[in-house]
Amino acid sequence: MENQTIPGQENGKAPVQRKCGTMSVHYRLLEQHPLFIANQINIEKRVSELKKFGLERLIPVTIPVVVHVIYKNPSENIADQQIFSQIDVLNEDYKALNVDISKIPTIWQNTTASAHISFALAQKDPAGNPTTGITRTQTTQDSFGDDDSVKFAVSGGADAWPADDYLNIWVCNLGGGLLGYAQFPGGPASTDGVVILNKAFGKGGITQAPFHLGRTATHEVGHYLNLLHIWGDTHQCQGTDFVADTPNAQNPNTGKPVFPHISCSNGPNGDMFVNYMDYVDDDSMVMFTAGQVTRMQATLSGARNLIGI
Amino acid sequence: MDKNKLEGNWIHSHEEDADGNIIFRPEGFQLPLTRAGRAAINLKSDNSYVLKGEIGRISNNLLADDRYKHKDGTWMIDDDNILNLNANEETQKFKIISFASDKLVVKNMK
Repeated sequence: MENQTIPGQENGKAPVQRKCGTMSVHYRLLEQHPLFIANQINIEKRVSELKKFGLERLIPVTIPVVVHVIYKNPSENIADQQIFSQIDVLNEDYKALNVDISKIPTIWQNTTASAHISFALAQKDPAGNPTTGITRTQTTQDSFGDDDSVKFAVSGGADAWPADDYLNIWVCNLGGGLLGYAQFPGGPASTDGVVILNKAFGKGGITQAPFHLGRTATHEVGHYLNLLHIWGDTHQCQGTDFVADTPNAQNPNTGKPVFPHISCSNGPNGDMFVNYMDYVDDDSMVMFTAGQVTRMQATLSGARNLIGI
Repeated sequence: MDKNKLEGNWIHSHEEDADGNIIFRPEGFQLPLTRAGRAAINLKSDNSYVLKGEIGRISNNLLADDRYKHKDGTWMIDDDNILNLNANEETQKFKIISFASDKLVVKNMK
C-alpha cells in the first residue's frame, strides 16, 4: 500500500520533537544529518520518476559484499561455509530462484518478481589487493547493541569499507534480542550496511531455528535497498511502504501464519505475510513483489548508483 | 516491596504472557529468538529507567530500520505496589502481581 511521505518524516520535514522520548539512529540521522533528509527526498523522487518513465538500470547487477565477522569467543568466529551459504541465499532470493517460492498463495504468484540483483564476496579490498571478502576481528565486547558500535574498530568492531563500492555486512553477537538492523540509503558512509546476529546469518554453523535459513539478511538488505516493512510501521492501517502491490496491513505478522490473515479490511487475501519485508519465520517469507523490485531498482539507479559498477 | 530488588534490566518474555499479565525475565535469562524483538526495561538505582521497545505490544518494539524504540524517564513504586513509569509528563502504571529474582509479573493498569 502506498501514499506520499518520507519514511520518518511527515509533511516533508524532519520530526522536530519525538513523542514519548523515543530515539533511534534512523531518527537521529534525520535530525542531525541534513544530507540524509535530502537524500531520502531525492530517493522518493527517483522512485516516482522510474514508475513514470521506466527503469534505467533493470539489468543484472552484482553487488560486492564484505562480511565483517566480529567475535569474542571462537564459536562466534563463524566458518566460511556459513558465510557462503548466506551469499547463496541472497542470490536466490533477489532473483526469485528460491525453491520455497512455491509457498506463495496462488493469488500472489503473478505478483512476485526477480530483483535481478546478485551478490558476491568482494575479490579486491579498498586498496586493490586480493581479498576473500571476509574480515575477522576478535573483540573484548560480549555483545553489541543497535548503536552502530560494531561498525567502528575503536569501539571493538570493524570499520566499514567504502560504501560506494561494497555492501558492508557486520556479523556479531547482536544483543537485546535483535536479529538484525539496517541503514537506509542516503546516510553516512561510515555506518552504511546491515548488521546481523551471528545465529541468524546464513545456514548451518551456529544458526538457530526458526531463523536458520538466511532470511534475516534478505530482510535487512531489503531495507538497505530502501524497502520498508509491508505494514508501513504504524498500527492503525494508515502507514505505507510506498509500494502499491503489497496489501495494506495493520501489524507485522510473526511465526508461521496461515493464509489468509485479514487486517485493515484487506480481505479476502489479507496480509502478504509471505513477503520478505514482514516479520515471519525464515521458512515463511519467500517473495518480493514487482513494486518492491521497482523501488530497489530505483535505489540502484539513484542513491546507490555506484555499487556494482 | 523493596525497590532495590526490582533494579536491573528486565526482558519481556511475551511467550509467557497470559490473562493480561506481562511477564519479564532478568538479563541473562535464556529466551527464544524473535524477529519482532523484545521489550526490555532497565530500572536503575538513581530512579531513572530506559525502555527498549514497548511493554505489552510486541509488534511495536522496533522502528523502520529494525532498531529498538527507546524511551527514558524516571520510575518509582508506590504504597500499592504499583510501578510508575514517568516520561514526558505522562505516567504508565503497572500493578506488580508477583516478584521473584528470576520472574517479574505485572499488569498494565492503563
